[in-house]
Amino acid sequence: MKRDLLPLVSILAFTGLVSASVGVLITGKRPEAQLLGQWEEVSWTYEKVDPTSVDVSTGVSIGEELRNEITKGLVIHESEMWRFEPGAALVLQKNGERNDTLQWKLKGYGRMLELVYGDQHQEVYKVREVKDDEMVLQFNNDMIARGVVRIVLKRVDNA
Amino acid sequence: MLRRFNEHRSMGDNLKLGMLSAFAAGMTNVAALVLFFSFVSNITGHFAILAEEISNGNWYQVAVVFLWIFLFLAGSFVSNFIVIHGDKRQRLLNHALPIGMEIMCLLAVGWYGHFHYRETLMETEFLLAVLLFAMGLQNGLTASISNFAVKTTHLTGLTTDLAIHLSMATKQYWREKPEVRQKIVLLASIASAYVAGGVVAGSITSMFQYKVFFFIAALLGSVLLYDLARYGLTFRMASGAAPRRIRDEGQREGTVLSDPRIAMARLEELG
Repeated sequence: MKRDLLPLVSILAFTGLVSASVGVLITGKRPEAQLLGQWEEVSWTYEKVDPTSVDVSTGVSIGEELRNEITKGLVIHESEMWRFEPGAALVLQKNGERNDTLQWKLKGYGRMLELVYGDQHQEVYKVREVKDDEMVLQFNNDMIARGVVRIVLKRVDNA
Repeated sequence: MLRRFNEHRSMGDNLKLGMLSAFAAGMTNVAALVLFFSFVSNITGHFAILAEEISNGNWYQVAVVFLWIFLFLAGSFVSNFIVIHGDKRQRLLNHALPIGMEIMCLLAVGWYGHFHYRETLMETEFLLAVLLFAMGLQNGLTASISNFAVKTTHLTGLTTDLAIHLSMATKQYWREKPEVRQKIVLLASIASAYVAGGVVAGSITSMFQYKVFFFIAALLGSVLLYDLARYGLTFRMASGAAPRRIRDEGQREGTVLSDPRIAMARLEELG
């Protein structure tokens, strides 16, 4: 490449990439919109676990009792259904009954889900994956067994 | 701190600039992490996220992270552009301008965060973009005017340089060289200041929230004020008149210092 062309090629490359990125932001589906709707918890598993604190040979699936211990004090405790509503309201339900209503916010580059209680207490979950019919959340757990807990939710219906 | 350029800079210049700006960068980074859940001064992590999101085909996140990286790049580009294209007789002004722009960015984020922020994702992405641009401005300026000796917003290269110089210090030949010892002190001081800034921000951000960016802006303002207070008369160099301090010096020594270039050189000698 001729040296004189280098600035021009650089400018064109950056202009193209920036334009494409802005185009994606304008036309693409926003992460908040991807979350809206009703989601049902499907499974709780340890994605990464400290092998010194749990017997991995028995599997990394988390049972009801252990789950209750892990989620003690968390807003997602004893919830089976999550309904993300427009206007940042999250309704948690169990057996068809409303458990709690919180505020939900996405932060960072759309991968950090912040849940806020009425008393402004906060919890943060990593949105690992969002598909049309499935969402995977992660949170770091220091109780019972240190590790990353993976919560899989299945879409039940759209908002 | 800001006025001198490349080889004219002393160890003291680099140390003061490096420590103050690294402290500000450490504070900004941790404040952004606490308030917006994302780093803003270290770009390596953003490149890793970009690669991961590309591999997963999440194009919205790819676009956001790419634009953030681009804004850091744009900030560094603007800084160096001002330094190399600005009037050489107004060096302090050229070097102060990027810091002034960074202060404006920080004030804007603090003001918007405190008065208007509704915590939507779009606002978060935009405010982080402004902070990344500000960090790019700072890193571009400090690296540019110090001949790449001072980089203050991320510590990957700095840690590598520190390790290299520490390993050099294991040989007596290098250990006796003052520049090697000075470099170790400079790098360790910058790293310590960055960490200290992060610790301070981590301690006060939950209390002051978005107002923490006003403190960081004030800290950077002190860098400008230091140079203005010490060398404020240098701004007159553009009109061709030597600063009074230099003229007085010249009269005492019986030399003529009316030429701005000679006066500037003398001023640099005087420190």
